[in-house]
Amino acid sequence: MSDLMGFKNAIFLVVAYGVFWAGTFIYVLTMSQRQRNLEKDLEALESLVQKEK
Amino acid sequence: MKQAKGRTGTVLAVASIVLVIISLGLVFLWAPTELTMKEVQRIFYFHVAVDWVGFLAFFVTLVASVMYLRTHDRKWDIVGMSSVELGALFLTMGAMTGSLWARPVWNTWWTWDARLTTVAITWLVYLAYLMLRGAMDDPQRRARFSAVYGIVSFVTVPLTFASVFFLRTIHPALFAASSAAQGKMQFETGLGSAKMGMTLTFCVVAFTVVYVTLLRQRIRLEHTADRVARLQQELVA
Repeated sequence: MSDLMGFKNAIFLVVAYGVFWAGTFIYVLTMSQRQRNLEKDLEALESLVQKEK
Repeated sequence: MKQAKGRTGTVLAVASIVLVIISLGLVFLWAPTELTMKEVQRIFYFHVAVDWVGFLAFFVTLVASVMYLRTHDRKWDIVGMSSVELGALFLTMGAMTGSLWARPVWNTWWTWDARLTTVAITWLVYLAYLMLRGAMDDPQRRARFSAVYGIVSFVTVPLTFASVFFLRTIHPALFAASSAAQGKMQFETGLGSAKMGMTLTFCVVAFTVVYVTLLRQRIRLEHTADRVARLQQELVA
């Protein structure tokens, strides 16, 4: 019985650490994607500004 | 200068990854098993660390808000907003990990006791900060409003800390000797308890480095967005 309880509780432990990793990973991925998109826009705008000059 | 900044970012990122991996090793291989809660108690190390980072982030917002009102420099508005975003993220993870710990230990996912209620209030207050920012178009007005809000909303943080010491709560009071805090963990004596303390301290330090790394990246993202907006305005003009 205590082995079963131990196993069930271990699931909570695994999910809790999973929450941390998933949360951090998703946030980092989102930020990287936004940074890449912004840098692409920046490059395009800078070349447009150069052309105007 | 740019190269030095890039190197700092890389060093911080590598340090964050290494420190978190070491934390995992300490949590699962070195820290002893708690007497009553057994293995599920190991959630505590990351739970406390992410909550600590959440509150630290809100303190950084407080400082940045004060600095913005003094200088009206956009960089402080960026720091404040970025820190709130991270604080909200970490507090969310803290609440979720706490809930996963509570279920096997208290037989409930959530209870409206003093500590959990004050944490929920803090979380909602700072979520409102982000939502209200999104609703304001004028950048100066948005920055001024955010700075004032960032200062006033910090009152929820010491309230959350104090709730465990002054109110009846089933949430463990890590540093309290008071019997008002029920559900205290059964620390082993001597070396076992010292190992738990050292593991917790290491996790807190590791997560602080993670926070600094993510904050730098978030600030960089916002500065890039500002440059894009400036160039767009230049082209339109």
